[in-house]
Amino acid sequence: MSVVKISGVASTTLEGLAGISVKSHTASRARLLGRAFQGKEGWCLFVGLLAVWQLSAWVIPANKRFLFPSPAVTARALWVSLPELGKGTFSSFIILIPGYLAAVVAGVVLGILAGTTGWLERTTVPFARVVAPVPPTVYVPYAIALLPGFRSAAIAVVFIGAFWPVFVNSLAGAASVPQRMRDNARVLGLTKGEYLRRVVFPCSLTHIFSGMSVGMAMSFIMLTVAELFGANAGLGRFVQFYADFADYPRMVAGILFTGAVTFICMRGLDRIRRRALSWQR
Amino acid sequence: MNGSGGPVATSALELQSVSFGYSGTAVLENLSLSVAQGEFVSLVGPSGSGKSTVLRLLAGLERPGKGRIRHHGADIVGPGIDRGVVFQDYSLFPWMSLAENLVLAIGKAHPDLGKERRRELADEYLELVGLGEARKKYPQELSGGMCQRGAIARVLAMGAPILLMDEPFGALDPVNRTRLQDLLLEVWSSTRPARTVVFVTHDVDEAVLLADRVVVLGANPGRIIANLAVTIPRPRSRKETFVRSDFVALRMAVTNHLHGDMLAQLSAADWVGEAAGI
Repeated sequence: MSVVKISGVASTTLEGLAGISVKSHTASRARLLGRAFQGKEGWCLFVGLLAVWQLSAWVIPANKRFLFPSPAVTARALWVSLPELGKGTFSSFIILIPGYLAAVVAGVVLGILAGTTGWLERTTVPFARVVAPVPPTVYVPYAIALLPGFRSAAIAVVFIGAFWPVFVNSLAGAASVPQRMRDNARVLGLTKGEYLRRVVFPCSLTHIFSGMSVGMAMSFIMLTVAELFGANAGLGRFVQFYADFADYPRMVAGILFTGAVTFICMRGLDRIRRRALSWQR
Repeated sequence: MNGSGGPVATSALELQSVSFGYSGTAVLENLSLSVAQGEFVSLVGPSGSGKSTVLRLLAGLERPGKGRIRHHGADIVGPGIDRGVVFQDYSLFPWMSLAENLVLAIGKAHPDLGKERRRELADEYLELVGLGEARKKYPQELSGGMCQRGAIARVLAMGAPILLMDEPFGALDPVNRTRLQDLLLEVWSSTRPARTVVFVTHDVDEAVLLADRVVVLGANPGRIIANLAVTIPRPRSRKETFVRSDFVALRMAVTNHLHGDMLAQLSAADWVGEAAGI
């Protein structure tokens, strides 16, 4: 009796073991597959969307396809437009860079001053609360009418679009410098200038960079909107121009190209942020 | 150097019937304390006894509601580079490397020094606390003990004649704590009586081992309940000091005062009276 019992136990144990090992085998295969895609999931969505795009190009009848060009047609349009797009990018950057940089400098300097100076904070915060949420696109027609030349008007609206997020975030960062950092600065006898430059500024960098990244997205929006109104070159202008001529392959190519440029700029900013904040890790 | 124990005309630091409170709550009430030049005073007390507030008042980070605070007879009206402060865990700016932290402090303490000399001096003091290799590291990359060593290097490099330390070793493991206590004592005694130290701690052993005098504060509101001289000869090795009967007696006295304040609602006068008898 006892022998049978023992053998029974042994056999179930073995079965159990076998079952577990089989299971773990399939699990490990799935895990292996998962590992192969790990970190590449983002690409999968791109590839998937591209496949859907290609598929739809096959399905949609040819007479309706001009509104919805296939990937191959779009790629060809992109290729032939590259010189024009390059020129457009240059023209856009001549507006974007000065407008954005001026907004960052002004936003950070004024934000830090307002965040550390009581009366300045009390003066500017109520104003910012009213003005900052106004969608800056509403200023575009007026800026174009008001300022001499399209370029200065476009720079101005890019500036306005990027300024508020940078200012508001810098102010929040400067206002939230911990008491212990302020004590530390006072104990060292730092002057107001040294305090702002060497304590408040680095301490607010996390906030400043999030403002800069929102501001950068805003400045791209403002740029393309402004270009829709009155530019004779530029990325937004390119898209508008070919849409007017119903050249949709070029228009889609322009959209994709603008997306790529925006992406590269945002990635660049992210690189800078990581570098500047390396001390946090 | 004019021998030892000569009468000092004015105290290095003096609090005269100081009261302090936040929005109606009294933190300190009628507290008087004077610290002689070159003296090492430990402040112990339960939380809420205002020991950190005393230090902040001496540092000039807070202004008293009533009373006067003086440094060599002159009123303290704000922070000054003549008083170096070590906080519990945030004396270094996290966005500067160790060396940059020291160079900034040295620049403020000795504005006449050139850039090169400041950097050399920073390296010397980092070397002194055993952080020569870590000079380019940021505080986040260092352990708590290394950061506190850096903070001590900073305050020493500034050459401040007065060191105000707020539980500087409170967050450290016993080994690091022992090392830093020894380092502090070494620097303090080698420059004696140039440096005056006020040291806040809640560790009774540490208070007695380091100090010339242990001031015990009681809570609600903060006031002095005992003022005990430590006459154990220096240098004090741990091994010998911890078994001395006077050390044990002092530690007991300090502990009793602390517990007495916490447990019983006795009048402060009784306890000061007993303290005088020791």
